[in-house]
Parts: sequence; structure tokens; C-alpha cells
Amino acid sequence: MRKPVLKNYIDFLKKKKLRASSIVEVIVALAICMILFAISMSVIVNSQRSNNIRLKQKAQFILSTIDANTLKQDSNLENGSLRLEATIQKNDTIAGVSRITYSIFDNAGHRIGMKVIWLAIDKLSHSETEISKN
Amino acid sequence: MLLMINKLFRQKVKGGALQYTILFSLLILMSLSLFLMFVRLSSLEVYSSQKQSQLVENINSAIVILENQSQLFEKQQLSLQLLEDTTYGTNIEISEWGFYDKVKIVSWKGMLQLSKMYLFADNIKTNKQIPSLYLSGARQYLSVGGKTYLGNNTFLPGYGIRKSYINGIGYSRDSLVQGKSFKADKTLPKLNGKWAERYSKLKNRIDVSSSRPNMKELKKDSINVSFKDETLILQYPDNYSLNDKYLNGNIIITGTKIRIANTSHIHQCIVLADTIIVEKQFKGDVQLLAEDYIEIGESSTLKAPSVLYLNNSDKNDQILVKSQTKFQGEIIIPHLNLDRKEILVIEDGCKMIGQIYCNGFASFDGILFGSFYATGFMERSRSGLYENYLVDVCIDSKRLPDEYFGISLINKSNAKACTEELH
Repeated sequence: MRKPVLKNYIDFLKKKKLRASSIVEVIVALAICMILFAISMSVIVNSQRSNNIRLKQKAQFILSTIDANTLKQDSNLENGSLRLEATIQKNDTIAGVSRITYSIFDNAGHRIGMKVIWLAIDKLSHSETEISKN
Repeated sequence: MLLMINKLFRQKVKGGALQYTILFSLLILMSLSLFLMFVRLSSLEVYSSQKQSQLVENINSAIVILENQSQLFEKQQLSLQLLEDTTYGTNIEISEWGFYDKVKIVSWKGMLQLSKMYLFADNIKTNKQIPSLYLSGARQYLSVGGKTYLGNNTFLPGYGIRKSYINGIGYSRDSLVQGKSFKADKTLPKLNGKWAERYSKLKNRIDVSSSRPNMKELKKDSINVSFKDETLILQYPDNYSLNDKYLNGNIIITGTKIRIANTSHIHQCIVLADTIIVEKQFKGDVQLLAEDYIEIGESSTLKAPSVLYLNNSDKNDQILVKSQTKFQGEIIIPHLNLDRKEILVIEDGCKMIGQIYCNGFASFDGILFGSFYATGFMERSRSGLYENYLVDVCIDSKRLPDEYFGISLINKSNAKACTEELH
């Protein structure tokens, strides 16, 4: 009479000698994996924090929308996660023109984008009036 | 199913837990390094994009500074420090392109560099006293007939202005001058010497290079030369007709007598010859500089920045602009000719925008939004020839468009303007 398959399998398991690792080896292996995982997570989080790629890209996009015709004043952007600062510097060495430095800062106060444009003073004063009207 | 599981367990597993750990560790390290590389590359990309954007802004800023600092055009090369960050730099090279200036602006940071070329002209609108008409002379009248309109600032000869009646047409407006009127001097204000100097320089340059005609280039139907490259001088044979030619950019066309057919397209080039004849219905923008004669055919269109310059030395030298022509630019006849013969003829229906300086008698029968300097006018009609008569013309510098930039004819320019980008 033929033995049932399940019984055959149990017999096989009883006879088989598996080459397994000891419990110490498994614990060491798990520990190494966990340490590596922890390090990699920490590196990834730090890298994301330091690079702020998304915010930098957003900052770059915001700066690209600013030109001589669309001047902006200081404002909070992206639900407060970014802050735009405009500094007007009337230059003495080059008469008739002014330098505007636009900087974008993140929540931690790091500058993540900057743009410098030069404008004729008459155009600048007109734009300043327009800004104050708005 | 069970058989499969069975088979799986029968396989001998090689290697222990440490080997698997090394394998998994390598996989994790590889993923980590790939991720870090991706982050680094993205960061570099954003940084590069920021740099490029700033380079573009630097070029725009350089244009703003040049527009506001006309004295910078006295130098041929200069460098600007536009940012506190000294790793950014902007260099400017200025050279002449006929009566205009071509400006090469190079903005750089490290190895990254952006270069562009622009054509600059004088911002003539900054001169509030820009006249509509300046008619010199001490003992003469200006007589106006028909619907003649003289707007803005009009400089009249010694005896002033009066209404006229020619061929049954009287003067139909209430006021003789639609703006302020002033007394003109006996002679025209002296033309800025820079323009004659530029013409001489250009002529000398051609004379020097005329020994090297490039026959291969002359045979081509289409020539496009970038302003970043060396200027191409095309020396055509005598009495040459430019038919079916496309000439664009940094090209000087020269010869003794050049005829330009309306099947040709000329853009941004300079034509320098003794005689230049432009056939009717020609369209383009070109600086035409001649020694003896310039003719613009009927219904032609010469867009800004165009120039007609006649270096008149003989009493028969003339510029003739035929009827219905649209012209935007400057017409200059610098040398004094007091013969009672028109050295400039602008026929009926011509619409001009820009400035005209005619140091002699002119015949004008069109509309000019800009300034007209002349020593005298001649009006030919069925009943005869009338001196200093203007009938049914319009001269108004107030209607000079804001976007029009030309050359400062009299005074030194105190403001420049970028007219177009050159390629």
C-alpha cells in the first residue's frame, strides 16, 4: 500500500540534515543588517535635509518668475516653508542703476536660492510704486 | 505543491548566515550609493540651473547698465562685477556696425559661460527738445499749405511761417504749428562728427580688404554670417544686380554700382557703394551708404534699423525715395549743398519713422514721425517750383514710437538702447 504523501514528507524532514547557521551567527548577521540599515537611513535623511532638492527646485522656479518687469517684495511662499527677501542696493559706482538681490530662505533660515538683477533707477522707482499700490 | 516544497528542502543550502549578511549588506550599500548619487546629481543639476539663470540675468543686467551709461561705449572692452560673488564675471566687447554698435556680452562662472550679441542704438527720445522740423535760414519764410501738420518743437527760419496758396489749395488748419515754435539758426546744427568718421572708417576697411574678393562666396545665393564670426566682405563687380539673394547678418556688400532686386532679402547687412539702387517693393533692413546716389523704389519697406547715408561731394548727388515707401531709420546727407536743387527727394505717400538730416534742399511729400533737418524745401507743382513750401505733409517728433531707437544726429547721445539680439 502506498504511503500518504504527507507522511513521506515528515519522514524526509526527520531524516534530512540541514546545514544551518548557529544562533550566534544569525544574531550577528541580524545586528549587521540592522546597523547598516540604520546608517543608510540616517545618511538618506541627512542627505535630503542638506540638499533640499525639492525646495531648491521650488526656489529656482520662483526666482525664474522674477524679472525686471515682475518685481516682487518680501513675502512668505509655499505655505510658509519658503521666504523671499528682496534687497535693493542703490549702487554708487554705477550711476543710474540699482542692484536688487532676491534670496529665498527655508524654514531653518538657510539660503537655498539667490538671484541678482540690475535695474534702471527710474524703472525701479516706478515698480516700487506699483508694489506699494498692490 | 507539496512536491515543489519537498524539492526546495532537498536542495543543499550553501553558505551560512554571514555570507548572506555580506550579500544583503552589499545590496543595501549599492542602493544607498545609488540614492546618494541621485541626490548629488539632482543637487548639481539644481545648482547648475541656478548658475545658468544667474548668467542670463547678468547679461540682462549688463544691458541695463550699458543703456544707462552711454560713456561706457567709449571703451572697446570692459568687464563688470555685477555680483559680490567674484567667481561670476561679465565681459563686454563693443564694436561698430555701421552707424550702430554691436555689443558682445560674455557672462561666466568657472567653466560655465554664456555669450550673446546685441545691436545698440541711441535712445533719442531722452532728448526732450527733439525737433519735428528744423529749417535753417535767416531771410526766408516757411510757407505751409493744405493740411500740413507740424507738431512738437518746430524751428523756423528768420521770417517765420505763413499760410500759402498753391494750385488752388489753401492752408486748412487753425494753427500753423501744432506745438512750440523756435527760431532756427542760419545754418543747420552741425552733424555729430562721429557719423562721418564711422563712414570713413568703414570705407577704409573696405579699401584695405578689397584686394581679396571671394568669388566662391559671391556665387552663393544664400549667405548667413553670424555676428560672432568675422565680418564677410562681399566685393561685387561693377554694375552688379543682386537678384534672388538671401544675405543675412554680419556681411558688408560693396561695389561701385549695386542694384538690389525685390527678389533679394537683405537683413542687418551694410551696403557700401558709389551708387545704390533698390528696386520697387523691396523689403528688408539694411544700412545703405553711398558716395553719389541712392534710390529706393516705389512701395519698398525698409525696417529699423535702416540708414541711408550719402557722402555727397558733387552737386548732383542725390537720395531719391520713391512713392509709397515705408522707411524706418535715418537719412543723412551731411555736406552742405546750397544749389537750388533737391539733394533729397521723398515722394508722395511715403511713411517715414526716424530722422532726416539734409544739409541742402529737400523735396518732401509724405509723413514723418520724427525729425527733419533741412536747409530748404522745394515744392514742384504744375504751376511751378516753390521754395520753402510744404503742402499736405506731416512732420511730428511727438509721434516717434517709444520703441524706436535711432542715432543721435546732433548731440552726443546720453542714453543708449538695445534694439535687437544679433545671431
